[in-house]
Amino acid sequence: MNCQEARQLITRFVDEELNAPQEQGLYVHLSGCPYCRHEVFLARETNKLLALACTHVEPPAELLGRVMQAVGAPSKNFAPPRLGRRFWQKWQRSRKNFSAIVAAGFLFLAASLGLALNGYDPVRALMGRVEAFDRDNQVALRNGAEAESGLQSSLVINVKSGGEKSSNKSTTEDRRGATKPGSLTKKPESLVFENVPSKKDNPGFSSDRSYQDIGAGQEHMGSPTPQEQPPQADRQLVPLEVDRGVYAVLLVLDDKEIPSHLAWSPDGKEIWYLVHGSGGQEGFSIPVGGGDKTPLSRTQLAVLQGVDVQTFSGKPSIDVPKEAEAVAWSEQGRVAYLLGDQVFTAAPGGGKVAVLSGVKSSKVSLAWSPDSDLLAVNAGPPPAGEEGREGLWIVGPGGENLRRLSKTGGGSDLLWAPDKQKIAFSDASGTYYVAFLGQDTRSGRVVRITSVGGYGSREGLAWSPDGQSLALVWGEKANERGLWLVKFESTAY
Amino acid sequence: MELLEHLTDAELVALVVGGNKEAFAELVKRYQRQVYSLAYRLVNNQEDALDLSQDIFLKLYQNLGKYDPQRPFSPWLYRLACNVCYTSLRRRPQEALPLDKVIEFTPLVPLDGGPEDYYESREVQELVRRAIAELPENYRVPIVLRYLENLTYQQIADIMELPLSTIETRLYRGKALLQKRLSLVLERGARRELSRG
Repeated sequence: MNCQEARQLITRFVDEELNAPQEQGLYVHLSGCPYCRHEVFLARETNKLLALACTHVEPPAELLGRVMQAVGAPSKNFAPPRLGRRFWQKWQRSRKNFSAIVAAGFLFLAASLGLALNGYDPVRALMGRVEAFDRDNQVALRNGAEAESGLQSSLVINVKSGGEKSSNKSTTEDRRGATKPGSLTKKPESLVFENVPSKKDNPGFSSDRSYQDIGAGQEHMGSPTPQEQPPQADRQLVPLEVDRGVYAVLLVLDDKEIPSHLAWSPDGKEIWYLVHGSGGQEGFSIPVGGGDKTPLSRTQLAVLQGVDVQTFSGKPSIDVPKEAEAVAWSEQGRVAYLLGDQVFTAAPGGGKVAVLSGVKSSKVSLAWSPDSDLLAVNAGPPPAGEEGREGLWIVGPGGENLRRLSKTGGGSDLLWAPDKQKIAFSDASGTYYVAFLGQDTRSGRVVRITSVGGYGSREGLAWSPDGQSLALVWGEKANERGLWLVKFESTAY
Repeated sequence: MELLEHLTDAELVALVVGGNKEAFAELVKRYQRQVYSLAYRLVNNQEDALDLSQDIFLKLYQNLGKYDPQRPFSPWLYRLACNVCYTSLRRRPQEALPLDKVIEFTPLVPLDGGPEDYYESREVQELVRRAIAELPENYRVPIVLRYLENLTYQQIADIMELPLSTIETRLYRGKALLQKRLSLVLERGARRELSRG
């Protein structure tokens, strides 16, 4: 990719219109081109200017009068609307709609016969009919949507303090209510998760107790001392991973605003995120301890919007092949990339080293540990019939201490916790996991966070500064992605 | 007539084609902000925006019979509005040289000083709006649709009934022209951002 090609992509990049391979290719170019990195900055600034300048304006009061006057004025050049054949055909296909039309026609005919003189309002009468029709439809739609999605209660997690049971079944309206943040009123031990469905009927966060020992690369299934759960009469109360020390709370759910570019405030008390609102890209902050979201200041917004560009800035020059994919730079100036079916690392002034071979998948993501001493490789499955390296791996920068942490992988998300003790990652289906590493990074286990695959978001993972909590954007369906707070206690690892 | 507010767009259209002008007034009330904003951002002039909005609503009135009630009303209205704007902008006498015909044009020069939120200052916003209004119409319409309504490239392509690749090219070229035109504003804004830390 040359600079001209990159600049054409940059416009679409800042508008979030690139697909993953295009974005990957652009990243590779940007990593070695300060001029194009500056273009990204300028493109973002231009977007900011445009978003500020292109806002809605209130129309002058005279507009309505002028339009209605023109509509009422007889003119040979201005004909009133006539029903097209298509209009009738479409309306007749819908019996109910057709009934509404007939009702409208009837009522207006009645009005023209003079009923209005007796205080009869045809529009009000029509409204009565239409409201009844709408009410029926809404009920049907609501019931249908619930039956179809099986989500009656799945994404509604109202966190209350212990003992406050609620027998209310959640509804679609409840789900709208779930756009408000949940509140952590007590420590997780005393939390009661209301309306959290079990794995059987909940596509959401996992109550699966499978885990994996990573010592020899062998996976084990087991249930390490699960606590006895009280019987759940109607699944109104289901603790989530409570025996594992893993909890999840839904903070934000809005089908019109999918959060992205997550970051924690430096004090770890808030999660910052971006959404695409009507006025362009907007940033919000939501307190993890409960409360409503608030808009970010310009400085905070700039932090989020500049995240991926900062990643590229100030890196020492290492020749990264043009064909390289999944390029990852470490804070110490090391680089890792996929070339063919091999993962290479390189340091300033040193040659490249192959650290993992036989990765026969294009779905590979790489991430350096905070101290740059370990590289995590999240590799997808190989083509059918071939052997590959699917899973989550960690390896030293010179290829030493290669270990496989999980046999599944291949998602685009991969993020080390600041304490270097955990790695959050996803597999090709969009299922999310956390690998817990022991102090020596030679032992530990993997816990599944979501029970099924789904959809994440761009930069939709962020560890809290203390590494004890994970912010995650996830939903089983693309339009039902919410911002979740996942907390880990010591029993989890 | 407050109850008309509770009807859906399609139900209002049905009433309008049945001869109810109050239903049409309700449609105008419902969409006048969007239509007027589109017109205003395209021409950057209140009088012209008012005329253009009126043309859009009259065209809408004449074409309501062609509306397919099984499809959402808003994109259909936008398509019609864009066609009216496009035709009108093309007919409009060009006050300045089109930017794409000018090889060396002078960047707009902002005044010194200004408030803390530099980009939000009235002066800077006016410069940006002027620059948008001076773009050739084939770049101007997709840019305004993108930033006014936050539409995706595909949605813009659907509204303008053009291939996605054409919209990508127009947005790229339009924004490149704007960036050049606003280069001094951008530089000044960047310096302020840096100096603020």
